[in-house]
Amino acid sequence: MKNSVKILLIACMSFIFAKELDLGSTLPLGNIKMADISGKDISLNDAKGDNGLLVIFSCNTCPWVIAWEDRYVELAEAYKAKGVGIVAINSNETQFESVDSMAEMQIHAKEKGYNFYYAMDNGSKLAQEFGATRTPHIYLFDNQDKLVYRGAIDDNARKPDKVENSYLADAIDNMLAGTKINPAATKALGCGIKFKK
Amino acid sequence: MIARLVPAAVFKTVGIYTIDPVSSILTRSRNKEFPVCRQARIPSKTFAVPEGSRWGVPQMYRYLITISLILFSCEQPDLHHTTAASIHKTIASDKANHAVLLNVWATWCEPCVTEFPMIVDLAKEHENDLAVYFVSVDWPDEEAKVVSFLKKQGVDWITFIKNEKDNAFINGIHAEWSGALPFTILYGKTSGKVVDFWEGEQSEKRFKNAVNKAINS
Repeated sequence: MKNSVKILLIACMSFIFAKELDLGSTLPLGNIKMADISGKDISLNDAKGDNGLLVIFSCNTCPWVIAWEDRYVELAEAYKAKGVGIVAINSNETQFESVDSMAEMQIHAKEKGYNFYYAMDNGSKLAQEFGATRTPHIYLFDNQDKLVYRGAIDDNARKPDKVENSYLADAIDNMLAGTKINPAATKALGCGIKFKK
Repeated sequence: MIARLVPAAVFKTVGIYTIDPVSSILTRSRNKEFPVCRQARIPSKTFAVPEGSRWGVPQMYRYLITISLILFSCEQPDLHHTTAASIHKTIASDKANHAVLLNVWATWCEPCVTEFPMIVDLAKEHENDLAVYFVSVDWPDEEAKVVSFLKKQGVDWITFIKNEKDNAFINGIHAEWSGALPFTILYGKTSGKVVDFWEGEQSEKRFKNAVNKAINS
């Protein structure tokens, strides 16, 4: 009997995933301060623009981030002027003393020409609260702090010229125009976020 | 003809083979349902020694070269470009005979590479009850890197490399998979149903528990 209960518990635990924030949810942990590459402490509320906030769970080394991050910069150039704030969050806690340290984040951001906040998520609190599992993992909030899109940047990480669906740019355009976002949730492959166990 | 000319001991050394007498296609198998290496096409002339003639030096050379080719070809991973839908077809064909473990990985994914040898060991340990399918999601132009890795790991059975857009592939494999790597899912031997799945690297203990559960489900 005890064994049966144990097996059942293991079975139930096996299916537990970090649940992604539901669409329509309010921006969580907006006031938590995080160390930014600028040397200042910033929060999601600080990063918000008048018309919304784009949160990108990212890191320094994941090949999928490397493939996509030129598009972070392009998106920031295109949408910061339209009142959409942008922040990249590094939640890879097990690598904070090596490849994902603040010093490495600063070097990486400089090399890649990051024109947005890039902050360290100590304790991976934001990643856990958002249900972020991978890098890059995108969350877009409107000017009411409601989640309107989550998932992928587009459908071709490796070849920007072969993109057929610019999911995120379309979502931001629709959000700004007040029109329906479709799809509002997508998926892409990525490196698992390195949570401390 | 082949059976007459090639001593059985040689086949025992390199594996169990099935031979199509018409096409002379030689296939190495771990068991009847689970082919483990590329088919080696042997032209029938290679072994054709006219009746009454003696086993001469040219035939001996041909014999040795052919056996080398067989051995070499059987060391190559059997890698197929695939979609989620065709993976499910492959799994469905195996469900009646084996529990199935599907592992999605990439050569650039450190946790995937770390747990990979342990999964290979599980595949060997449960050879008769468990079919293990690895699905690489490396970039399409990095196939050589995938093949080289599989070869080093001793994976000489059928494996896959993704050839589909991420969103369709991820949802096609399992609706609750977010896309983070590695991803592992197990299907029961008798039920054919999903018995466990998870994202990220897991301990050997977790794998072994899940495999036993799948074999007994």
